[in-house]
Amino acid sequence: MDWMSYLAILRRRWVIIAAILVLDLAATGYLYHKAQRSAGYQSCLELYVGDAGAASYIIAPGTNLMDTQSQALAGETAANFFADDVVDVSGSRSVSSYIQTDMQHGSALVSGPIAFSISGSRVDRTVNLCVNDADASQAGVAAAYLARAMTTDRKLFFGPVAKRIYTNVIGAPVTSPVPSGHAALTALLRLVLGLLVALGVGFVWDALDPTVRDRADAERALGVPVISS
Amino acid sequence: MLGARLAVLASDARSVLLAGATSDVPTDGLARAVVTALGETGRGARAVDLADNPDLAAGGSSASPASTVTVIAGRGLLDDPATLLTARRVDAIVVVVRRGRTTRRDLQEVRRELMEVGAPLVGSIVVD
Repeated sequence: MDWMSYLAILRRRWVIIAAILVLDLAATGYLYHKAQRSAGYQSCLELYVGDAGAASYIIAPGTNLMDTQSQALAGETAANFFADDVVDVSGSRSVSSYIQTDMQHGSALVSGPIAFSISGSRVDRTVNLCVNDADASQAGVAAAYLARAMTTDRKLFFGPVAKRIYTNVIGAPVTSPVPSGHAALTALLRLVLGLLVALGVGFVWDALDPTVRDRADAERALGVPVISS
Repeated sequence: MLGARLAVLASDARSVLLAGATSDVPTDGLARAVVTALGETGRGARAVDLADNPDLAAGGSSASPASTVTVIAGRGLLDDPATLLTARRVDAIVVVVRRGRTTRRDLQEVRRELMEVGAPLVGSIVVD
């Protein structure tokens, strides 16, 4: 196929290609706008999660390590599970509504609409939780309430399991601007990817079309020249 | 241009059948255009609709001067037996192809059918 053939396909399939490009532009614009809007401040805190029912790793003098090893390992595993639970529960709707309620009733720093999001991650038994909000002070307040929800008020969210967990704030909430990331680059890549998808769909659509598109098609199928087109 | 190319491709033809692969391709208007185009090259021609002259398929011929080319507007070569029968009796066949409607598979089938009956396929016209 020469370049003219590719151009002919583009001319024939411009509607589907243009439609995909319009969708791509709309989606990219929306996601870019959303990324810009949600990029505000984040307030992050660090929690240590332990299993209250398991033996400590700190072995007292004279203790038989062999006897305590399996119990200690069980405690380690359980604590890791609890830490995962803390990450999951902190992002739940019930925790969000707990924080929102406390913010609405208990903080003078809250002025605008409350619209935060919570994310978290775990490394061993240390959990890092972050609250994102467009307003820096609101992010800090929400993080403080989140810390309270996951420590002193944890029984509200974990039920009977809360008795087996102990959680301590080992890193107080620190508020900082959310890294801007690569929103512009991501949007550009989305546009390029959309263009490639549009072209791909156009060419595949054309290849799967069983009808005669041009005189070359007709000449190939019939084996005689086209008199007029 | 159309008349000139047809005159070259079927210089000795006294009857030319215009037909699509299937009957959904209109050929009567095109037959009149071919007659006009042939007239511009100096060849006398007249258009005949196969639907109005079913005896053409049976081997009959409408009376016309020897120098006049009869352009027959047929229907579908694959779905109309009268058109296929007529194809065996004419001097040249031009298949009318609808861009975006006629399938390549149908055209290959037409080619195979015409070769089987020894019909003289000379060219095609691609229309929208």
